[in-house]
Amino acid sequence: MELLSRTRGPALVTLIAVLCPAPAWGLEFTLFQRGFTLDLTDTLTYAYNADNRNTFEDDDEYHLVLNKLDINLSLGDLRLGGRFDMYLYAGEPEERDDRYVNRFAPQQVYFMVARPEFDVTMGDFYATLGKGIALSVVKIDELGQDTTIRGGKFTYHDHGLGVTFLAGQFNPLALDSATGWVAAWDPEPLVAGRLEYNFFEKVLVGAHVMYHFIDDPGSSGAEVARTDHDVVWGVGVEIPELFASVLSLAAEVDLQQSVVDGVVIRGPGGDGGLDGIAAYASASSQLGDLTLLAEYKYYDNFELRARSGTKFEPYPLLYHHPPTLERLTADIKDNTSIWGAHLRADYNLGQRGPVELLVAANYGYFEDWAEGSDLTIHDPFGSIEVTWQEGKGKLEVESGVRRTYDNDNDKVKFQDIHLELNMEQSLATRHSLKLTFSLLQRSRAEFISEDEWKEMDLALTYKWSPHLLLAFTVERQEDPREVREPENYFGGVARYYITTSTYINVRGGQNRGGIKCYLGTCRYVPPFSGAEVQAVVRY
Amino acid sequence: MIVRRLLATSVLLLLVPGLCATAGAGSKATNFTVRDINSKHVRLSDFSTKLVLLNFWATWCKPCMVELKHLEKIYQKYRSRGFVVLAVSMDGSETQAKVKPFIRRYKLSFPVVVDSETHIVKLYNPKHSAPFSVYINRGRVVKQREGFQVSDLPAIEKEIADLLK
Repeated sequence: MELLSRTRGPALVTLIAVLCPAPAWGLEFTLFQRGFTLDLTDTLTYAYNADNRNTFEDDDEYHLVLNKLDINLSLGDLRLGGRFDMYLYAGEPEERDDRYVNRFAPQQVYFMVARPEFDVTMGDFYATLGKGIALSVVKIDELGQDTTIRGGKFTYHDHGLGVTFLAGQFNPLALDSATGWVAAWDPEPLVAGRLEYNFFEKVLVGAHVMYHFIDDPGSSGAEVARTDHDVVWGVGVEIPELFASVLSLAAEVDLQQSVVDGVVIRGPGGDGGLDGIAAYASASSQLGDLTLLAEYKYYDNFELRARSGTKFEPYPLLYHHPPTLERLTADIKDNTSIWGAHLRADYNLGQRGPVELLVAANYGYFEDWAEGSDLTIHDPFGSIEVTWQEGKGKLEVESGVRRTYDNDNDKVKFQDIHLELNMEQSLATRHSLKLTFSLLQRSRAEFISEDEWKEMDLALTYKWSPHLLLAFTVERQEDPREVREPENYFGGVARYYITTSTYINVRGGQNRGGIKCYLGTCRYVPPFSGAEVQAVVRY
Repeated sequence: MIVRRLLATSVLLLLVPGLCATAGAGSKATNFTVRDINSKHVRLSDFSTKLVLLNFWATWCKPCMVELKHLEKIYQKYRSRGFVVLAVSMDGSETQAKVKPFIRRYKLSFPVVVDSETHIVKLYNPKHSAPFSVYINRGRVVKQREGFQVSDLPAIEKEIADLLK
């Protein structure tokens, strides 16, 4: 109650009085005769972590108060922003210097000049060049992965011309936001640039280069000279509307050269032949109710990743995201020395009686020759989408089998059979029910053992718009080695919306962890058991 | 002491919107320039006289797909009155190729931009929520909305109709 003491109480009331007359979305005020706008997004979380039933005890029985405050202050074309994170732990099981560390630190602070023709950003920023083969540092929410580049970025965009130049260092945050681990990342400098031009507003041609200085201490512990580097050159072309918009084409080729201790170990100048190359192409077409998509990739020893050791091995941070052509949640073993193609056809069957139907068929074929691998992958899957009552009800089912063959013995090494179901139904005005279900039956044959197991997720959600959302979740995880009994995880969520974007979320129960893959990136996500209260405020 | 102050600040920030009115003229929207799915530059200021529904979505987001199909119907109904949907795809390099086939498959006619660098996301959706909508009326941010289920449709249409009055 110290907050409401005699001295602070009036200050609080005054502040609220000052803020209240402002509009609900963005606070406007005048300072030095200039009009400023302040936008805030705040996420305050309290979580009690009970025994999460994994094999470690040092991530059980502790409390966490976590606050993430995004602030953006605008004045005309100028913008100053940042995120301020606060981690407060209580009851942590043991003193550690790499986890359970209380901290309050500004993250992702930036200053931006946003003119119609150009943007200049100083501070923390995300960046992608072309198709993301040479460079892509973005947030991946599903895995809690969030790192940036700290430095400066200049972007010009006018009259079909696009110019990007950036310089800075990777990994300034040094914190894994999903787990609270303090990472052992070292700053790694880079410079990059891209030039693109849209000829006749029909053909976009672009070229880029990215130079990444490596500062790896190596096995001896002594820092090596910064003559070590990765450099990537790339060119690309996009023709979005060919033959009266029937066809769209895109392609990009990148070359990577890696130099370690002054020796070219990959790419041009090395002795690996054509390695260090990445090529990607896509084509899509519309023929009446038929939509087609074809993608092709050829990557040979092409990889750009964090050099420093981290707590997240064997899933290190990637500094680029070359298209995988795979399903979103596919457990991709490698995407560095592989070629393959993905074909997709969608056919809109239109209205059939009381329902509208859309079917899709996919086929993925890949050959992986990364070090120690000689694999062939077949991944056919299909889906059907049924809607009724003008979209007030919808059912979508997707299923397929992804088989990975070991070319040394022609046997199936990995197999994933997946089934996903999404169903939503409007019950009455402002009431709706949603069901999501996924089942993965997996098997792997390695050395002398053959394992089979299932992973299942189910969620039932009810929403009373615009106020209330309730969800019940069940997850099941079988042990591949069948040493432990199958684990069931039950959970529930209640969310109350104060406004359409401000809400309080209460979560209780359990969620299974494990290796989670998303968009070609995989990592270990710890299981959760306990309770969590979260408030999200935007204004 | 510092920790206590930080907590107090957090609580205060949470209290303010609850204590304030929920309607207002809105704050000035920051302009941006990105390429659309046909590689042409699109600026927010191109729509400075309209009611813009900035809708953040991605091909991997199931509720987003449902919402976009419904937004197309609302767009057709209100576009003559100055309403426009500006769909911001948050697809990264891995799924970007699926954006155009998706637009074609569902016959979406409003402008779609690809924000692979998360430039617009940083300005308007720092939590990276999907689906997430920002209503910008004649250059001013007047409302935000997170999430979508079909039961939200009546409220969304009413919000748009009210803002167009």
